[in-house]
Amino acid sequence: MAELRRELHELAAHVALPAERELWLGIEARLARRPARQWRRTAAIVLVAAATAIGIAFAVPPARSAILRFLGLDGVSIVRVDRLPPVHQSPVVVGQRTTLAEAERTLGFRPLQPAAARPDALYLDPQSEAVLLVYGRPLRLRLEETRIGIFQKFVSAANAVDRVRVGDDPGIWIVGPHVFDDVFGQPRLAGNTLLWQHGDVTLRLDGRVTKAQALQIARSVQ
Amino acid sequence: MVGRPLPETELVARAKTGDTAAYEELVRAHQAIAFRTAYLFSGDEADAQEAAQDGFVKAYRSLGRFRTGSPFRPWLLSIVANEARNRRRSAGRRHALALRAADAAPGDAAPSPEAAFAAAERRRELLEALNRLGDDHRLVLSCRYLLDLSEEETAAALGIRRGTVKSRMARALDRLRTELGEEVRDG
Repeated sequence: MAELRRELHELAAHVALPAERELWLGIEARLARRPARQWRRTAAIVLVAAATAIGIAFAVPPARSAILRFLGLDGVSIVRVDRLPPVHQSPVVVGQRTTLAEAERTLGFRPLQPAAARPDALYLDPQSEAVLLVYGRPLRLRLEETRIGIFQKFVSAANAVDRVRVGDDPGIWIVGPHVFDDVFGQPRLAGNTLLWQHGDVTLRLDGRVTKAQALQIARSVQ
Repeated sequence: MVGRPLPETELVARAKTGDTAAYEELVRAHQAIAFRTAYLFSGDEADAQEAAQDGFVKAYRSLGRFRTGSPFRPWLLSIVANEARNRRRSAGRRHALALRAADAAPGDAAPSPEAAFAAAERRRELLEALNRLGDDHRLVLSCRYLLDLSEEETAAALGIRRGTVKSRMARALDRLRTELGEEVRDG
């Protein structure tokens, strides 16, 4: 086997891998933009749960996984897998305590709120440009909002994923524990979740709510 | 920027505070491997460039969650590979790896035209066999041998544990031998 390994090492010099490219200019241009206006495509955020390890194998043969796509939620990547990836203990919230005014200043949009209740706390995650509104003590509901988003969700066969409408806005409803991955190596466990797009803001609601309750809350958001 | 280049941990620390000049240095230090990794996973140059750039942008926006003192490259490659995988899943296509055009000519160090021809032929067989492997096996071998990634970096790019890299490598090498029509034996 050592000989084969040596041959593979030597092969590297002969394989036509593309030459290095100048990437910085394109990156700089994207960093300079107000991501809010440019990155309509994606969704969400950091959902967080005190989670215990639930999965075993992260590697999923691509042939058996499938990406579910939803009209109007192009950037939301939901991958159906045989087994959920492992998750880690996560903090209940990510970010720093903030106020509505500060969140609006930082994110460039006023956080939308359900009509019925004021949040018990707000958290701002400047890196992902997301605001998190927390309701209930103990925690009952989280509402996160962003105009950019970087994330993937993994669902198993046990999770129902339904297309829904929140008023005129497209959305999806995911039932049961699934894994939220912010793409940066820290998958988290999420419960029942409603995810929808309102204008260029993507919202995500999760907590101890039924589908009807979640939709009712979502429709009241303004 | 004057004097010695800053160590990576310092560049990351500065980038975390919004110093884009520091981040530019990080990008320039890692753009070659990021682009090539993206190419392996997406199988398309244009997709690879997009994936690498998006990966760098997302990494920058997520630096707040990056553990200070950890090596930057595995973390970056996990993001870039993920971007590239997503593009490939959506595009559903991949160009097989090919030998460089110059490889058709005899190598400089070849002892004789016959030996040079045999060596080039062997490389062609090897690459074709590699291209025929399933994604899991092809990618683990390509990351380790063609890109010369470390085990840690390979694990990050593939989204698997280091221990899994070892076992998958062993199975991939066995499989490659079978593809080459060679007997599998220890050694």
